[in-house]
Amino acid sequence: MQSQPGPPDITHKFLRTHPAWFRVVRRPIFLAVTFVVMVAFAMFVLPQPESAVPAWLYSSISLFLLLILAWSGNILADRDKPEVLKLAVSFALIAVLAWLFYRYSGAQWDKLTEFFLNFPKLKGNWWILRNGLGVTLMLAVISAAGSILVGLAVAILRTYNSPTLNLFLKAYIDILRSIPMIVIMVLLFFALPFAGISMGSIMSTVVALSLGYGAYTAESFRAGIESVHSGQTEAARSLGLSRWQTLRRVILPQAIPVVIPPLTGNLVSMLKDTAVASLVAAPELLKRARELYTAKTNPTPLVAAALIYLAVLIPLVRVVNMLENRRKKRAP
Amino acid sequence: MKESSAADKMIEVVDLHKRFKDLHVLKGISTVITRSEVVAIMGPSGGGKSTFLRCLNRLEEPTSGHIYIEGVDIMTPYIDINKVRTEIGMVFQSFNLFPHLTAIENIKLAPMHVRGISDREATERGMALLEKVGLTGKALSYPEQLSGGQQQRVAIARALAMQPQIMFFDEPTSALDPEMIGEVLDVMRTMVHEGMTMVLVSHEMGFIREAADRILFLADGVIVEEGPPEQIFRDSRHPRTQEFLRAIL
Repeated sequence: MQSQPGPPDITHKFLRTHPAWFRVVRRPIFLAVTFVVMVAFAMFVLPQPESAVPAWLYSSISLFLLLILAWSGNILADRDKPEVLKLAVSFALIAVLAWLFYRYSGAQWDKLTEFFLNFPKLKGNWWILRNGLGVTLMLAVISAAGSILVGLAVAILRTYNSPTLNLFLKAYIDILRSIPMIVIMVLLFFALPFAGISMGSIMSTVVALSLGYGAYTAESFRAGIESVHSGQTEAARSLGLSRWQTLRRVILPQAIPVVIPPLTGNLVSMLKDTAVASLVAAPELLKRARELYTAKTNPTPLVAAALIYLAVLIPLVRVVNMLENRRKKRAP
Repeated sequence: MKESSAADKMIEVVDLHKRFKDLHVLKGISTVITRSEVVAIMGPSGGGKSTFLRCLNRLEEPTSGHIYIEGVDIMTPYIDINKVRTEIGMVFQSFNLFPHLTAIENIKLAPMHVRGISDREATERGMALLEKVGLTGKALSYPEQLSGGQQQRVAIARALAMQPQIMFFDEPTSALDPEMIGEVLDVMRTMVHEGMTMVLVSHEMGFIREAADRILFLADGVIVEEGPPEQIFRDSRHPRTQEFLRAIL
């Protein structure tokens, strides 16, 4: 019996051949038997965490690890095994590794749960986090609009190819992209008041995010504009369209579809960066979670905040992915 | 060559130079093109043919010299080059249709936004032009749905929509499959019969022999030789022209 599918009587010079032991090892019956052996090993051989002699504990766990890794690796590396089986084996492997860690790591699991996953403590306080999420989303939407306006304006000004203007625009883009968002925000909030300009925490967050991400957005728009072939400009200008009409009627309608995926990606990063506003005491999600953390002397609110960020951002990230894939399909 | 009076001068070029950094592409070109004249520009690649044509409507900025379009020097300040360009239609080797617009929208764009004509009137005129180039049924097609020959005919209709006095063709058939060249040349032929002033960069010998009034032979940035097609093709005097014609005939 052969482990490879296909008629067994094929003989040609390109025939795929394996050593005999390799074929044995990949047979389902061999895999089933070894699986039973491993389960038995886990049930009867693996010692109790507390009672065992350390040397025996370590060597038996190492042997067990070696066994399960070899067994699952044998399946995962086999091109002829169905993908469903590989998926199941992967999850099973992760589960077994987690179980090993849980059983033998010596961590204080009860304390961990009490500190970080103590959700009953949050009872009656979820509205605080919800308000925080509202502020976060508001900051993100306003800053998104701001950064798109700034970015588009800078990108359009750059198409004029004026050396003087470009000097300043490039300086803006390079400087803002080189300073961490947190530093921009702190400077706007704490340093500018000494220069006679004081903005509230919300305002300085919006300005910092708009300017900071405006620099990235400008680069995305510029790439989009440059992706439109120069023949388009020539054709439009030769018809008598002005520079602005050419941009508005011919170049931007072609550039913007190109720019939307990277732009959405920027906006996702920006939504995450609104968390920085907690440093200047804007009452957004992270700030609210930290307040609760102090009030309850328990870090569970931070975990809750992480889960909320996750719930909002995972769908957004998927949307970005979808846009990119659609764009790739449409491109010639 | 036709008799030219001062009023009939459509384009006059005086000592035109173009430099790209170290590269001296046009080294002093002077010529006069009269109304309804069809001028073909020939010459080896790199000789400055396209650059010369693109300088004439300042798609390429000339380094020095003068260009008079209908008597006005467009190299002086206080010239609105956009107004000059509405008088000069241009057709490109790679068509350069706007891919996000349908054929009829391509044609309507400039009349509506430069001339300020209403959508309805622009559509009517555009449809008439599409009929002229034989593409009435393709009004709502996007460029990618059209063959090369069809795209180039739409591009010609788009240029004609501005009702230009002069048409420039920059190798209009060089990017086309052989079986599509004919349909584009047919459209150009009707324009010649209608008395359009045309400047054409091309190596379509048959069409040039039949339609052109004059050939400018451009090599190394200067007009090496000029004259009617029969003379240039039959007994060109300059060795540079002879060498070129021997190679392509």
